Amino acid sequence: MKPVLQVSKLGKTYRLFQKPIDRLWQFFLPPKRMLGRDFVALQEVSFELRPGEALGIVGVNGAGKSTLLQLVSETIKPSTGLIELNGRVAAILELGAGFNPEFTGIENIFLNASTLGVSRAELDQRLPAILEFAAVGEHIHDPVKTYSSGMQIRLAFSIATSIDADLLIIDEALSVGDGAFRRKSFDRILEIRKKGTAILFCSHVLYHLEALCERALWLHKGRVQALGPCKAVLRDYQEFLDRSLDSSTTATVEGSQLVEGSQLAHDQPQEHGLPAAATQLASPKGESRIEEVVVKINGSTDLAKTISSDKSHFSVDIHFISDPRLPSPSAAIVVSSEAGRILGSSISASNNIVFSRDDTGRGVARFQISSLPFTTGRYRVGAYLFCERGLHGYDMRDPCAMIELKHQGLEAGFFKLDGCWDEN
Amino acid sequence: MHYRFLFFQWLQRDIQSRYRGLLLGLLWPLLQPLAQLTVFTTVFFGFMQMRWPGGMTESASINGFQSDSAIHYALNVLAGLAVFNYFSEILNRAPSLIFSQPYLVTKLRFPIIVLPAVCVASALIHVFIAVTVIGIAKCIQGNPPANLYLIPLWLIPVTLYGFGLSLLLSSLGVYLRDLVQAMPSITSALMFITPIFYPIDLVPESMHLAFDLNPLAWATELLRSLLVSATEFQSTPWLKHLGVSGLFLAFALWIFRKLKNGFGDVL
Repeated sequence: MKPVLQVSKLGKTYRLFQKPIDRLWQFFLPPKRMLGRDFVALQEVSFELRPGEALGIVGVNGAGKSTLLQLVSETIKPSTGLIELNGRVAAILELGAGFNPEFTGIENIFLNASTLGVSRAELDQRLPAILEFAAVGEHIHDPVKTYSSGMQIRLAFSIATSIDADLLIIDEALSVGDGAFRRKSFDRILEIRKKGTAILFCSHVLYHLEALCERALWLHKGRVQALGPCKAVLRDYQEFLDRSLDSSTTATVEGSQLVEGSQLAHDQPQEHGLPAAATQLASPKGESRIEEVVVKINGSTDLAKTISSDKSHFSVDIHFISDPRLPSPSAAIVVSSEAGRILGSSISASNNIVFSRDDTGRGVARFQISSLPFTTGRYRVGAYLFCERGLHGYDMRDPCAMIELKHQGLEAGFFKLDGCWDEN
Repeated sequence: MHYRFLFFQWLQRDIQSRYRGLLLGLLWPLLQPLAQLTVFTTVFFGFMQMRWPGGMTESASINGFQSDSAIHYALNVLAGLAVFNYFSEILNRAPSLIFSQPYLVTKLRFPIIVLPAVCVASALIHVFIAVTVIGIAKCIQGNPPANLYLIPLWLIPVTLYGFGLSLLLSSLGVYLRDLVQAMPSITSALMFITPIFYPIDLVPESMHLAFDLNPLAWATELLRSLLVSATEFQSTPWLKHLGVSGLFLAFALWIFRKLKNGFGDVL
């Protein structure tokens, strides 16, 4: 099968000019005379994408992700290398770009769809589906400026994904909107991929990438750091983020690269869900929320004193409320170091556990372990709520508790290896 | 093929966005030149006693002669205003056309050339309204313009000039924001070096070169001869302007294509 997209030795160098007029002169000067100075945003990037394949792109801010997506969607020209496209491209680099707030929803559908390259006939055929997905009801005949931001995003996403393309380019479009919308839009993208559309997907939400992509591309400082199976690349990338995080909290930051990484890592948890305070409202539609987390050690909720890790029966009750019309949510427990490095986790979805609920959608997800394997130190416990497949994050409390452990012996590291010595 | 759908969607929204929500809505492109017309006719015809040659009808009484002559003057001015308003709208809008919509350049796969094209099409409204008004007025007067069918011929070079200007200014405007500030002075100068409220015959011989080089002057005079005075259509100057406007558009397209590659980097 012919690749939809073939990128070879792609590079982009921005020239920074002191005065805007210099940029204009440059077009008419012989190539030898250079004004301004160069800034290399991307170099030597090569990969290909076949129909129905999805490639995830990761990297810290400034690594060149956006530049790459802009190059592939042909909104900027490459400085070196080649991009070979076979087929129609749809790009969602920004949702709702081109909406005119004075026009009604339906007028914006026509304007935006034509802007994205949808033909009249195609649009007539898709209109009912667009309206259904956007779900703004009668408001479709009101000016868009009267819409809530959620309605605007739904409408924009609905138009952008209605176009039949061979390659879909998505930049962070999924990390907007409420839980219900994120779930819906993610399903929509899975559906598009099933139809054979190749997808180029850039996101900071690593579990989205893992669920959608077979392969991942890790960009670092404008170069390809890794390209390969999604799981392996994401694991290395996560490790890199953790490393930057550790070194910044232990005050041994060297160079700007680490600072960059650590800032991103600090930003990360926000993308997994809403902060606790914002989630206290009732009636979750299309999502689930954590109502309370009860952490007990040896049957007591008093976590102030230091516990011996040999005798530490540990249990976490996640009281949640969910939309009764949706499948019961799955849950996860994460234990991290004080600095935020994930040390261990357990996910209910991977054990095929389905929590029972009452009519209002309330239920309790209980996790317990007879003793915690960790060495002396302070640990962070986090509770997470996901959809039934473990893909969309609904809510989180991290940390929901801090625990202090001590262990007998001199073992170093975060936990004792659960093995045995053989005397022969 | 979908460019046509795209173009008409943008044209429709462009016109709507300017006139919707206004009390008088689409009456504005009609009222605006009429207001200008009233002022010019009052000042130049009424106060300064300026007359347009060829406006006298032999059998008129003193009063009739006066009002006939006033309408003749007004129609000539209207033809001039149509040309001027068309070009001045392009001059004033084009420089900010592209840089005011950066998301179209950086966030979407959008054929950006649609923007200058829409600008020209929507400026042509002024021409259509003026032609309609003059046509109706001449019919009421009893001598409908016989050369009306030649208007499309007139329109070709006028559109080519307009599109060329629009391409040139919109692409340069991305790099040279100063253009936006410069345009009002240029258009107000154009108003006087184009024979809008005076006939070109009043221009001294020594100045003719400046007017010959001004396509607005030619377009104005030709529109008048087609609609108001009904003189014979001369093909030589028309062919000359067709050629020049074609070359100008080709040059503008070349510049636009060259500069387009850098839009994404600037915005």
